Amino acid sequence: MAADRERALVVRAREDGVAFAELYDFYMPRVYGFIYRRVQDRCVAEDLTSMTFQRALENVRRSDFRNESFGGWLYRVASNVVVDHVRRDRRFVSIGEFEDREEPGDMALDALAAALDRDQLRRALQDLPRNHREVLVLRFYDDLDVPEMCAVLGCTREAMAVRLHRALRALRLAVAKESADVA
Amino acid sequence: MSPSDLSEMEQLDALAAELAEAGHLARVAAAHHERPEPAFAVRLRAELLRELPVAPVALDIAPGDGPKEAGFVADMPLPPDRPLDLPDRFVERRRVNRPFAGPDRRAWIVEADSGTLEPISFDPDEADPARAGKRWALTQDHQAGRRSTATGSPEAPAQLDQEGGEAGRVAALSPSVRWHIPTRVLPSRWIATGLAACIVIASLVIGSGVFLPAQAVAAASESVSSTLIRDGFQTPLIAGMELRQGDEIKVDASGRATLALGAGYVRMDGGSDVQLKSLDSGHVALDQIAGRVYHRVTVPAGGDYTVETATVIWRATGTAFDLDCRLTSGGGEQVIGLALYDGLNVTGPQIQATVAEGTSATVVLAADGRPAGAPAVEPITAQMLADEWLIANAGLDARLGLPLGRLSAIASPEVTAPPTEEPTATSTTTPAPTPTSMPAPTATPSPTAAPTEPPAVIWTPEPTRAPTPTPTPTRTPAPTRTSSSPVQLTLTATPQEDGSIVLDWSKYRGPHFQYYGIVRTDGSEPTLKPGDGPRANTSPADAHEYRDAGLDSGLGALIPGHTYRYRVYAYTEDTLGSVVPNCYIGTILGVSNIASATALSPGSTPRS
Repeated sequence: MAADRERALVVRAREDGVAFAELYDFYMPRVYGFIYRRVQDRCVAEDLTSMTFQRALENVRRSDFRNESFGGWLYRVASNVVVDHVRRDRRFVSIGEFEDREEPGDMALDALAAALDRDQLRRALQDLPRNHREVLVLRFYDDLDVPEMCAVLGCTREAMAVRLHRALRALRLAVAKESADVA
Repeated sequence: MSPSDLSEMEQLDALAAELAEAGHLARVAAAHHERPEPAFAVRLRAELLRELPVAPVALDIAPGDGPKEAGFVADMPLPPDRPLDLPDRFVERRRVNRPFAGPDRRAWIVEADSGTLEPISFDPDEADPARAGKRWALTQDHQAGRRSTATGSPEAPAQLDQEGGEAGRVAALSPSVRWHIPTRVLPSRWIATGLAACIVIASLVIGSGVFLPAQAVAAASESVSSTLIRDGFQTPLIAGMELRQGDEIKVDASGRATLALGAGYVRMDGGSDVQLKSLDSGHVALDQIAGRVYHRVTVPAGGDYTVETATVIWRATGTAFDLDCRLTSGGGEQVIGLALYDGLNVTGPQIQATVAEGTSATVVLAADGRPAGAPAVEPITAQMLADEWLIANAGLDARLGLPLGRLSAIASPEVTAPPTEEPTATSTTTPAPTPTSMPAPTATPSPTAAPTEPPAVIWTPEPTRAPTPTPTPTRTPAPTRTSSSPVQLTLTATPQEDGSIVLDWSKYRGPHFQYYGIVRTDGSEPTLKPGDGPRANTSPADAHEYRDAGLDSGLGALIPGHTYRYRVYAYTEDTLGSVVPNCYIGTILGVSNIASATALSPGSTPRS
């Protein structure tokens, strides 16, 4: 969706269901997919998607709501909702199981890694530090654009570019290390 | 920038491209699961919109139109896939693409005498108050409720009170939605009537799947700059969006789209326009209005797949073919059909022809849409195949492991230059020079129709119809790539007493071989493709036997009694431009048949 149109729709959406409906129609399948990749459960994904759009509606109706990238903001809300869900879910997990529980993005990372052809790259990706993995998954699996990633990660475009660059460099080094280990 | 920096940027660029490709494959593989249920989407939409008013339509509706100027969205049932914006006066769809003087297919919107647009809606307040024996009554809550809200006039109830003498007339004109059950009718009869109605409705709902033909599952698996036209409304086509019978998909000149129709799919080139006329599981019918479309057809036994180009119908029963509709200078149209895998039948007014695999048929249509003569059937030449669009499709099909037929001559699993690119895509050859710049992550070599619709692809027992074990190509249709087709390998799977399954396949003997990849599914997923399901590699790399012993093998645990399906791929040693040593693209050189075996319980006797 073009940024100008999106901004106009967000402004109109405060008092116009038609505008909000257009935003919903555009983003709902994407946000649902974003959430589903992290929870891998249809019912949970539906609940969290509902929660995300309820929050979106509440915020959009506020007169002081300002956001340059509504889509990015929406992904950020979805990301927070997923984190909340996982944390809430953990409260009911025994201590013994706690260490084995996956982080919210791990399922998405696994799916991305499974699609890689090279074993070395797959292992290198999975061994990366969490901050690097998060950036790579958002960019290459969730296919978010830069403004959306900035909103999700809460950083500027410049910082985003640096983070992505560092993540790729770290991955390259990890692949080289894996290759050396194999050799 | 030093040469080492440049080399690093190139490596990162290549790494980004590899990740982007993997991400695309992963999204495609999970597309079915990541699509929200339509019922959920509708319910959530209605719940959200119930809280929002609808602003006055900023079009030509006059302010004095009463209830139509404002209201609540929740009052209007709006399907989720139907855009809410009022469209243009009419949607001009075909004038540019098709010059034929046929039935007018434009979608009109009701226009009032005053020249304003009037949406068609059912207003219960305008219903005849005397019908169905209902007794309408004017109530106070009605005055303060929906009607006053709808008109946006808070003074309305007060006015009605002052005009109490006219209450009866007002009641007749604007009845309440609340109505009383006539006292002469016994409640038990109403209950019985209600129950009967429920039973009838339930039986209709349940029986609809029996009496109505099943619809093929249709969805957009990829969309770039494409538009969905449904019921005269236009909306951007989004990947994952479900498609219905009657939908029309129009692709911009710079866009592309891939539609999954049942078990087949349709790849639409830029500038193409297709309408889905029938999606019955046994009969899929499309109207190709304009442009070029690649059809990969899989229909059940007894079914068929037809594509209309004006008055000419192209019928297939399980094939891959390409149809290219081009306007001619005389106001007519020229349609070129290429039977790339299996044949086609062409019928139309006074024409009938069979187009065998490897031949093309050219039909010239006059301005009235009727064929100007018999189709010109001729063999597909190498020049025809050396086409960017066909090469890209061949590469994608090869990557999916589909039978290629004539495309095997040009297929390369590595996708070549895309026929149409994203207008905003940046070039991979210009990496950002500074660390703060994006290392061109968006510049993936995005093909026109990436391997998008794996769920829709059913593997046939014969993966390559034209096994051409000639790794050294004789022709190079693509200027930058060497063409090759996967060689067929013969695979057998034998269950063992210890519960494992032993795979044995014919060795790939061509050049550039690097390693074998083994794919396994448990039978629940009927598709097999590279990147799908648990995989394993042989050790040593050139071993042509493999024992799947469960978890230790890397393919996951084997469950006794389950039937597993295997496929083996031979991969090339191609590198990413020799920039990153040992960085394999994984071009497929050979592909085996699917071999099935049922895992035995440890200690049992294997069946032959």
